[in-house]
Amino acid sequence: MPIKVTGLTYIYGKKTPTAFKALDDINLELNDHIFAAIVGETGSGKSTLVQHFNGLLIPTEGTVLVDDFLIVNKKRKNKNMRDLRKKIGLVFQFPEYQLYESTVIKDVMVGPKNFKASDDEAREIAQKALAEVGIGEDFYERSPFDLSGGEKRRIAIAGILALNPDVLVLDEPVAGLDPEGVEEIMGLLTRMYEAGKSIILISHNMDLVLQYAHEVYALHQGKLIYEGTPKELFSHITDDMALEIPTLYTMINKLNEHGMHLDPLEVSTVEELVSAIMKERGLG
Amino acid sequence: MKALEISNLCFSYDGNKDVISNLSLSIEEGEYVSIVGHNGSGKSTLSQLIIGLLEAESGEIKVFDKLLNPDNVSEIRRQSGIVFQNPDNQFVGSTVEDDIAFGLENRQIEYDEMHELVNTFATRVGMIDYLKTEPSSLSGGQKQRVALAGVLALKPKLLILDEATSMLDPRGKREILDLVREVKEQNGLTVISITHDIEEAYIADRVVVMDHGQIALNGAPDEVFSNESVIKTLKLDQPFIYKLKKEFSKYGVELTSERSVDEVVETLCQSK
Amino acid sequence: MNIIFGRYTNYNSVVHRIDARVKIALLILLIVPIFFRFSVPSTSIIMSVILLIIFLFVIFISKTKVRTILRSIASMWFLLVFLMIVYLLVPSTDPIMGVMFSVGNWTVYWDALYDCLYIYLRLMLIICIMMILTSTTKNTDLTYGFEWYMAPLKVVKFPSHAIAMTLSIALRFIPTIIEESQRILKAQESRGIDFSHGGLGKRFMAIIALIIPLFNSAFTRSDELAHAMEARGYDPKAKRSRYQKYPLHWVDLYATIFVVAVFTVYLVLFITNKDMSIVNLIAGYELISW
Repeated sequence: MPIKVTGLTYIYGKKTPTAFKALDDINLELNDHIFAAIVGETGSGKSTLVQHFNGLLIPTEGTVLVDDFLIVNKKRKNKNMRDLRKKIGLVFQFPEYQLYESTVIKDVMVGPKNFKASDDEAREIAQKALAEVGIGEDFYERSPFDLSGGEKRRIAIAGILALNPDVLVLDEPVAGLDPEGVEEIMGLLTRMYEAGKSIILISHNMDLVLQYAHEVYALHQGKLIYEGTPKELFSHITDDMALEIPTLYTMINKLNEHGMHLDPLEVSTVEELVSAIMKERGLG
Repeated sequence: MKALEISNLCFSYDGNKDVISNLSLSIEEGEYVSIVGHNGSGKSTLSQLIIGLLEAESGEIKVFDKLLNPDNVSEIRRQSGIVFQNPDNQFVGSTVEDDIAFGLENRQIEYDEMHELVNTFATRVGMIDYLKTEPSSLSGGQKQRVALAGVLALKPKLLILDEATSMLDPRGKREILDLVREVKEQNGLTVISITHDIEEAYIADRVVVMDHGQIALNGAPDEVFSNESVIKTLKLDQPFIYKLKKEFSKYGVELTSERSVDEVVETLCQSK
Repeated sequence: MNIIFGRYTNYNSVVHRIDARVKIALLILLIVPIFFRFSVPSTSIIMSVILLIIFLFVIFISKTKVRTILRSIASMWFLLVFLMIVYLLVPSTDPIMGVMFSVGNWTVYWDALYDCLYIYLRLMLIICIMMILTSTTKNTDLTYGFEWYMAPLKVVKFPSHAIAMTLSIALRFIPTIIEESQRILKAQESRGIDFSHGGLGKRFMAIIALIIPLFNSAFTRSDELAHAMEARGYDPKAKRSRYQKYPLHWVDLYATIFVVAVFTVYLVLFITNKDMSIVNLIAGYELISW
């Protein structure tokens, strides 16, 4: 489902002394079936931007067009936002904090039931969603509060998947997880992508962005400062973007500063890096 | 002197499943040790045992040659400080200065000395301009710097970081780690860093890998990560520099003592 | 919480500089005249209005925003309407102001309206006092102030320090918890839970979806905070030194003189001129000053 953002500006606490412009004239177009990442330092406006995609926030100025839902700062023009929330699934940072039902299966059923599914239908949908995140039947009747961090997070993601959204937006989905948990979640997202869903990921972890995302959007102080592939971004990064570069590219940049001529666009793994260096040394 | 000596330590929360089982570990004064392992491997439990927030079922913990027991917990705790994971949940004071002062107030430090210490350590962590700021207007990284100042002001000999950087963005993470290393160099602090971040673990003098409440691997970083079968079964990643060294050795180039990108770049460009 | 408590604003006004202990005492002293009721209605109203002007003056010099006070009054509209209804429905005892209207057996006197407006006025005065206290005093100072007043209770083993610490931590975590509840709301809205539409039952269920995660995380927080405090050597029973010092200044004396003067004038007028109209009152006051 394509998302088109035009001239989007968002101001928190407008008309108060603490007014803060979180987004400043953002224009971008997200196509169908993408694996995109939104990057930027804390406070750059990433979370504010994605909250416009499912109508949790309404633009102060400009428009967001999701499929045929137009989100604009005029009350009666906005269609029922709840229907939009079925299409754009938004997973917040630390989604385990939104669990509240007494059992795992009931918690995942909350979403479908809110959209008028019967108990049986909801149960069926929930089972499917739980299977997708790799949670087995033996978990259904357990309390979500007794599970490990990674399990809780998968169940929270299943709660959103149960709405069967076309686009899955995740805010820092792996923050605070151990490497095993990170792998589980990223594997899950890859599978979702392969199954035809769009994945939009907010992340600080540039190594993950490099490894998984096909396109990347960089925000800085509420402005969109870059769009392109992760490789392009990391090879063009400048200090004023306030972005962390993956270690691989830091290394390439430093070697180039010392007189080597490595092409960052040609290198994306340690193997390629070492072979490029060896070639360079052979020539030098 | 040994900063920490743990022998045959056992602990369980419910009395039957051991979270820490028969664990022994010793750490020299001035060492920087990383403890890695996935969730549930017992690493955070271990840190709480060391600082006396939990009591062991059996076994001994000696902190700077003193045996930890319920009677001297508070005395031994004076020698160690801990920074926890969640920046919000360890910010006690209503402003930055009040938070740094919290531990000092507990130790009944005199007014003038306390103000001097608060100023010194706020400056040390780069928060001197925020003394009167409330926590709700600080970033996670800034809050962790305040937490670090609060702990360092108590002049501990042993500093424990319990996943202290896992909720921070890359910049916040780097700032905290740089600070810790600086302080360690200057004051000969012993540091135990519990972390998921393999890159963070790699900068330590020694890496301890935990699994099921026991020590699976223990040694110098390169040595530990070269044990590929164990690293793989425990689903741990390998640090970038380690991967780099391994890849270079395929070409017959042996890098040994290098621990950071800068060091590797330097070696490569010198030998060129 | 924001209904009667203002948020501390960091100005350096005279009112901000008054010591928290002194401020608490003085504001309590100012609450007393609010409850002085004179038997002549117009006198009561005018005396309250004069008090209101004094409060507004204090608010003005403390740079507190009058708008936040108006907003907090507006947010109590339900209570205000409810009060009005109660006053109009409950028959006045000994009405002295005549009939406003009557329907069948039910007669409403002007007294009811007067009583109601008088309550509104007093409510506003109390809100002003709470606003002045909370928006000009830091949380730490406020808790210190309360702790200081509770100190004598230590003799009877009253845990005044523990209570002050609890209060201070509660105040410290209010913004954090408000922020968190907003996040949970949005997260639950994202999975289709509707907080603003639907019947009572549905809304109740929606609120559960906010409350449980909020409590769950609050418990985690309190656990972790307790650990962090213990690790930094906190012992509720032990003696602690203090980072903040609270010396008294001249401004505390001036403020005390001002408030005591206002209080005394009201007290004297209340005792001596209970039954007089405002005209006599002022005349009487002139007599006293003679």
